[in-house]
Amino acid sequence: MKKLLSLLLVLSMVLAMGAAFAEDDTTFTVACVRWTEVWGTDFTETAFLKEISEKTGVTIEWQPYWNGNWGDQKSLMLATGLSAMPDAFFGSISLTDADIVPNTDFFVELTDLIPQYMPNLSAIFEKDPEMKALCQDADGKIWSLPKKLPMRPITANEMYINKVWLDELGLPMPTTYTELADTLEAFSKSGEGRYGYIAASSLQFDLNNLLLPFGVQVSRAGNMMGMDAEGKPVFVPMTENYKAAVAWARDLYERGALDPEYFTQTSDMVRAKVQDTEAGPRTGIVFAWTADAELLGNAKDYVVMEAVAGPDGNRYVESDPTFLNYGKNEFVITKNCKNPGKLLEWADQFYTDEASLQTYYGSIGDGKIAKNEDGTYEVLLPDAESGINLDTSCWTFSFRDHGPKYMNKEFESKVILPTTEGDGIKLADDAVNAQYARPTFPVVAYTPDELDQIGFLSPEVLNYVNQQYAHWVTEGGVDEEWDAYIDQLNKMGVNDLVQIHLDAYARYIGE
Amino acid sequence: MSEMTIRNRNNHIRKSKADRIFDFIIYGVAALLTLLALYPMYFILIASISDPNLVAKGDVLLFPRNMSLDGYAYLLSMDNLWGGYGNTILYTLAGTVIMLVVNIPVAYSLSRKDLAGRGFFTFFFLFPMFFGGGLIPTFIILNNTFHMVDSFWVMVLPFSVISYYIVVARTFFQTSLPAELWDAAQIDGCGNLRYFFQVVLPLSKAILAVIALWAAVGHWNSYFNAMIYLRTPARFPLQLVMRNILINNEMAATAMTGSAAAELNRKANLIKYGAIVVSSLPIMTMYPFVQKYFNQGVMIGALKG
Amino acid sequence: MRGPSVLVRAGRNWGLYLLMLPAMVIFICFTYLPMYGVIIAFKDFRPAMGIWGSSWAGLKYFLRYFNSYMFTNTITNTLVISLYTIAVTFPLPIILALMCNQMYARKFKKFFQVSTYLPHFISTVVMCGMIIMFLSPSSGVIPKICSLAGIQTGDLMGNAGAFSSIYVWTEVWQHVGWDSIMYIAALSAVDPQLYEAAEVDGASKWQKVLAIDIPMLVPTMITLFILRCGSILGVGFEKVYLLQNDLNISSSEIISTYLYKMGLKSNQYSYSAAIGLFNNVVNFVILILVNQFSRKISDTSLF
Repeated sequence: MKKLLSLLLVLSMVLAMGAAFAEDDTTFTVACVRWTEVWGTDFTETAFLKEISEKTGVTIEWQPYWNGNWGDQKSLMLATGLSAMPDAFFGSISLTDADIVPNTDFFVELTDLIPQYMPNLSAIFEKDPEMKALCQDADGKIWSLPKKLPMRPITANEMYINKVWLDELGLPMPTTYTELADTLEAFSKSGEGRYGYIAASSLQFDLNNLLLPFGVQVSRAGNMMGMDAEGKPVFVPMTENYKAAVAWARDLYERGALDPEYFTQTSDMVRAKVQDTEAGPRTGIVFAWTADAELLGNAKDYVVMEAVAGPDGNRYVESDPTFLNYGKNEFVITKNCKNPGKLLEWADQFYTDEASLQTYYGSIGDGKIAKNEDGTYEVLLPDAESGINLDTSCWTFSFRDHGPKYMNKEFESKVILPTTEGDGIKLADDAVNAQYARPTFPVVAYTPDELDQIGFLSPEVLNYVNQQYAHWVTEGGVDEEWDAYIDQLNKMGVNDLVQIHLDAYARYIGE
Repeated sequence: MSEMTIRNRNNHIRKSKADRIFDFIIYGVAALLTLLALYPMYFILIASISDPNLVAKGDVLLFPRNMSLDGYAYLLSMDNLWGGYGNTILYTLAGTVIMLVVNIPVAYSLSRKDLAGRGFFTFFFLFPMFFGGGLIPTFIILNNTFHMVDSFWVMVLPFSVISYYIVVARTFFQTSLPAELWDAAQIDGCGNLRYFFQVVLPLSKAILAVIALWAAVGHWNSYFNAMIYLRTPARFPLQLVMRNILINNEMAATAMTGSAAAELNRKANLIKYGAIVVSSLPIMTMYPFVQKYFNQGVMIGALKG
Repeated sequence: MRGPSVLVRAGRNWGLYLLMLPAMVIFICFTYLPMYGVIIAFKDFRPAMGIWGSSWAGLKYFLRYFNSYMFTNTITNTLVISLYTIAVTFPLPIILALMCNQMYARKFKKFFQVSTYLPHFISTVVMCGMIIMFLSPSSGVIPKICSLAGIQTGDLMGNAGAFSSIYVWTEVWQHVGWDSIMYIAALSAVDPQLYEAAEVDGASKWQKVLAIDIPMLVPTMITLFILRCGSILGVGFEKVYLLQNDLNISSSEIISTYLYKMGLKSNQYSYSAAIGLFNNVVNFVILILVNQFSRKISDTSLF
């Protein structure tokens, strides 16, 4: 009897230990950051996630955070150390280069683990070396997983013009920047409260939208770096093109084509002016991803415009694929993780075409996508009773922009999108201007010291540049004050700042 | 003397001319200030039931436009609203009591000139108003040493000593408590503790009311500590719940592509003003109850007795 | 005659020390213990190395701050806003309390008090949204009213010179009622017999205010004023950040907003700690100076 009991005891201990080890090995805590709590946590319980969980035998405990709070929470989490961190972070809005690069001691290096545990991703690296270059740091090491978003357009924002007003005034579609200026002025004069362009703008936005005909596009990363006509990187706010662009903006402002409260109103006030369906929209043009994104109910009055020609005769459209379509830091593993290999196996499941489709629109198993007999996939619109639009539905039931993804070009043609809203419209509008897309300053990797310097020099330089822009547009004087402006920037150390970006770019090209 | 007040037959004090002018100015200015102060609240009230677009366009001034209760309906349908309310009430009640218990006695002790080491203790309680380790070491200690993160206690205990309250209460004790009172009590054989609880506290209703009010409002409005130290959504106070809906949207709008951001903004604008009404109404109505402690002569009865 | 020794006095008043005990324990555990974190300002803090493992930076970050282009600008802006705020928002709640105290119509007095403190509860975000809306030259209520009086305001939010005034007067609008509560409470401790005696002496209301009310408030006023001076570099972040735009930034970039923008690009733990420490030191020095000054001219002081 005693022997039986002791045998049972040992057996149960072994089983318990086994269970504990098994738990440790295949259950992981993963933190993910979302834009807002409003969309809920359904995205952690999708059919797709359940499938890959079963397939790899991995259980994930999700820890969602909300972006508005994340800044302080992240700072604290990093400073407290590994004890406060989960096994992994999911999504590029969770950790950025500024968090990872100076603190690689916290994270597991993935360079050698990827070939071992991630067949899908390794195959992608072979086919598309840009993906590999994307997630390598300044020393060639890989600390995170990359993504390429599916069904993405080449352009970013495009210009939409109020067709109803054009017809009302009997005006043709403008094709050059001078015609555009005249049209905007005509819009402003056409009615009470109407303006050619109403915005709560900033220089960053204007460089990529209103001022584009001057060839001044900058990176969405916010460093104001762009490419000149020869394809060399340049700090745009110090170029001649920029000077000409500001003079033109000043002209628009003086002629009344721009809403005088251009620099002082809030986005809410702008939205009120353009989204009001009763009184009608008050702006002649908007720059938007798609018309409905900015105009909601008034979108039907607007059509996408072919980019206007600038002073050099070229047409430009905003295009920033390395920022908008590709990403890194989509999945980062901390040293808390007891079995990174297993976790990477799980992460590898995201790198198939079907996976990328489902983590972008919603799961087939949840009824968000219909898989047809002929091998095509149809993205379904949400029910009318749910009251949400397609874009919101995608965000609610999938990771959408965040997390590892890669869809092959060939697969994209198998996806059928609704034509009434969402990505379907964007791709259609994209076709109008895709031909004018040019390379822009890419997203590059920096060393910890460089990040430090950028953090120190940027606010001063950017504040000054923004301030001068607002001053020149509302009060004029760009030509007279230009030299003093350049001097001031030099005193602020702008050359050191630009040199950092140039060095990082050189490294990027070298790969 | 023409300036003297005269009691007439009905025992009404007939006010002198200077006093009448004085009154007129006082009430006149007060009326003006009341209007100025009430307008933003009135505006918020009508804005909360108006079309957000019309509000932002400046079309809503004196009357609501395109009235709808959608904002409130959406607010009240939020899952964590009632839970948030409950948590906030709990934290506020407990937090206020703890703050009173912790700070008032210190203020009294520091007000006593015969406290040995008074300089040292005053310095001890005032120094942290200027220097502190900051968020990071505080969090590390709360998390690693005291394991208080994500608990009820972190919301009411660690930050309950407020130097500002101590200073203000100390001033009150210094100016309003006659020294003779303690001398007399000592002669009667009364110890410090008994004196504090049986004499000082009953006489200090006004300052207790002020500190309680500040503490309650402080707790009611706070979200930062909750954001940093709480993890379980079920523990979130109301302000954090509201903030999560309202604050996240500007950032999202600039960095996201597609129309989901527009939806978010629309929803946030619906509840922006209503949220203030919903979250502030209870605490706003607290003051009238506290006000009775500010009436004249609250101390006098005790002195005479 | 020498008084009793310190220890004897302490022994006799043991109750007083007991009263302070809970607060002391809490303060030591949660406020004094974490003070070691102040060394972050003197180190090159990298989270991966922890506070102790990070290398020493000495005064590097302080020097960097003093030499930065924005140093003079941010400090000037902070001081301007701060001093302007103190000058306006310090006396007004006192005047309000005195006014309130003189009201005998109870219902109106209550109504008045409640109305003036209500705006305190509006969140900063909504308040700033309202301010920008109300000041909009095309649709805002303030320019409309001003034009009726014949004054052209222009775009106030775009006017760098107007920024501090907008900040200060909206602070008054929002908080003067709430801030007066302290003084109202203090006035309630005035012995009504004093008023009766003054009346018999033939004092008018105005004279009563001067002779009774104000002296009653003086100790509180001085204490609160000293405390106010001790936060001179501490202008709040949120409101300024929300009211900032590219046209008024030359007046609206203060220390805390500048710090925030740096933190967006890289995690400037040490730098922000250094700036924070510098602010605290300045605040403290000013406080000591004001306190000493107050000691000389009155007998109320902080310590």
